[in-house]
Amino acid sequence: MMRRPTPMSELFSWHRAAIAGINPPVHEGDPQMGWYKSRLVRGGPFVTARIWIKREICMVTGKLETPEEFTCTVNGQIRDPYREWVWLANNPITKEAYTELSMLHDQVPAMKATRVSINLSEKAMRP
Amino acid sequence: MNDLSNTPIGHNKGPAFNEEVVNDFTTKARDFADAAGDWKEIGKIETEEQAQKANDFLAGARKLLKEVDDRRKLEKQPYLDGGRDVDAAFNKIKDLIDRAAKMVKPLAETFLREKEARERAEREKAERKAREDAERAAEEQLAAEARNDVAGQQDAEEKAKAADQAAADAAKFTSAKVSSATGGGSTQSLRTVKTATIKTMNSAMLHYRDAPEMSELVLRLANAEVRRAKGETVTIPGIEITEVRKL
Repeated sequence: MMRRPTPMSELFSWHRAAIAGINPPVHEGDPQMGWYKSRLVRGGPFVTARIWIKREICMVTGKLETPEEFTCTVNGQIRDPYREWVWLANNPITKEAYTELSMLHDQVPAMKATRVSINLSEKAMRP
Repeated sequence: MNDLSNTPIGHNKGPAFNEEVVNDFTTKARDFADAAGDWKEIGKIETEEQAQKANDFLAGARKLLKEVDDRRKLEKQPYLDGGRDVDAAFNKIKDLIDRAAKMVKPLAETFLREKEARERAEREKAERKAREDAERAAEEQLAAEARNDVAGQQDAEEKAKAADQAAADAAKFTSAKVSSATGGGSTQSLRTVKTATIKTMNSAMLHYRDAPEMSELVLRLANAEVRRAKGETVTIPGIEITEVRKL
């Protein structure tokens, strides 16, 4: 039986509630679509992370052609969304903040070393 | 040829710190100072993103400050250790001399006190005698006047003058002195030392109420009490406690 795609509003509902400060429940193994920030090491710089749904929708019928699959990247690397979910759930961010964080990595040299503690004393942060 | 006879020990050693480290820290500090100028120029922080960056600036400044201070302590430590060694060596000698002097000082003090007491007694005796001589001279003066004895009056006047002089000499306060045996030491005498002790705290505090040190002390005690309360409400008579939210 062909399934209808899950509506975007439903897919983003958890993330929307989290950004609004409502503290929706976090269930292990139940990743939620959205934008997040994380660290690769303790004390390391923030890196961008994203969970989204990979799916194919029939242009004619509007129904799913493949099952909906969660996909995740952390710092641009593909990761298992089910394993990463519990850590990412702590730091949901808006799409704008996700973009800004990506840009910050280009602006702040200290952020390039994502696997070492970030040393803010090396170079002053500017506005 | 240069005369180096007045130059101190170690004058040619160079700075007491690692110049390269100091230069590196100076560069970083200047970067922070320059960045602070950029922050000041924006006037007001309007966005969450800017606030987060400002937070990182402050965190970086705090970290750099700690790094600089830790290094300062490290560079200074050998000199502190050296200073302590020098002090230990010389203080041991000073202590020995101190102890020796402390053994003899009470003996000298006791002698001077006794000498002063003796001299005071002699002075009082001389004063009494001078008073009696003056009274006798006055009586002789009167008797000579009654007899129309000019020579007798003259004698009595001279005796009265001598008695006055003796009284004046005896009244001069002098502390007992002990001079040097060899001439190498100075003459020593007792000195009066006055020290205060508190008899009534309230009266004493009232007396010093307007002294700036008094308000500094009271504020120090009050602030220490506020800190000890760790956020709990504290009431201190005469003290107003204000709350300010700070970073």
